[in-house]
Amino acid sequence: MRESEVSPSALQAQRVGAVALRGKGLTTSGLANRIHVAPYALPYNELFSGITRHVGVRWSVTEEQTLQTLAEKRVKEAALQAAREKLGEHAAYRLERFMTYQEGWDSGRGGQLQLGSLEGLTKLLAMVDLGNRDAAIFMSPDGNVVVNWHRNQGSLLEIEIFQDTILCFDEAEDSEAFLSMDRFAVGEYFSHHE
Amino acid sequence: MGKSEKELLERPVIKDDEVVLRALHEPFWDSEANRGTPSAFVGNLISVSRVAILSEEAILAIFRRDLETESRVVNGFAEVDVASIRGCGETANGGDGVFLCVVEDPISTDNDAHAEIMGSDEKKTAFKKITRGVANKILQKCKFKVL
Repeated sequence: MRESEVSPSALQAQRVGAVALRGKGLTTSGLANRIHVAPYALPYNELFSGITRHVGVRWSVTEEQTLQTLAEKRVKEAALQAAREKLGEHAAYRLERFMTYQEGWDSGRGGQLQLGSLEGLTKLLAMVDLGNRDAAIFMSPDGNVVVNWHRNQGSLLEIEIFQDTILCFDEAEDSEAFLSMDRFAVGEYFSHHE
Repeated sequence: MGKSEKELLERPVIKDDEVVLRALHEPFWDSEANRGTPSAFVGNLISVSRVAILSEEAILAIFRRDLETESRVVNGFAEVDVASIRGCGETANGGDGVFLCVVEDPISTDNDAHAEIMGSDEKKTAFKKITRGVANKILQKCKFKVL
């Protein structure tokens, strides 16, 4: 197919797809799940073998899927980097493993790691320093990132992280409360819960 | 076809003197930090296994069969008696929140000893979520056997 046969939106999709392919090193099977091959493209094998040289010419991408894949990758990388820098290698290692869990990981229950929670984690770690709190990282049955640590007097403080809020559990007060992911609110809360 | 909420709520209750085991594994357990999260008991219908039906070794073998993957191992188990679990419910402490019991559930996971910690209202007409506060109390009642 020639470029002139492709609609502007498809060209845009191809451009985005090309960026995703060069950066990700996706496998053929991974690609097959992520792109929609135009009906007038080359046969399957030839298409995939030449994909890095012919992107934008021989295939088209379902724009929404590709953008989603790119966005997911960025969210995951940002969260891993933040976890590595602020919580340490072990936390980042665990988080990376949580990302591989499939639906039903807990005896048929247990949801996949939520992207919104990863975004929340990145935002939170940019606001507060948890590095000196012996924080450990877990995942809730719903697939949200959970971080807990013991306060100075020994009681547990645990937070479950959502995209724009944090559910804070304070063992000493036996209380659980939602906190907005707001620099002031988060700073205030954490300074009172050393 | 799955059971209705009513059928799930009406399953036979396990007696107070029985002991149940909950698997310890990632992501609920961090073997380096040597601690878990109350999240292991948050939600509802929490999987446990009854020592009265199968030995610890047999239950551990089932945990491994059902939960271990190439990259995840079962780190051990948490052991707790039914009376202690029930005592963590808010209704047991004079509140009007969640009522806890442990119910038989031998079929759903190919495990004769399988049971579930269930949160409901006191009359068992509807499920109620086990909150992190209640879950933390259950976690504190547990004895941990780390492998």
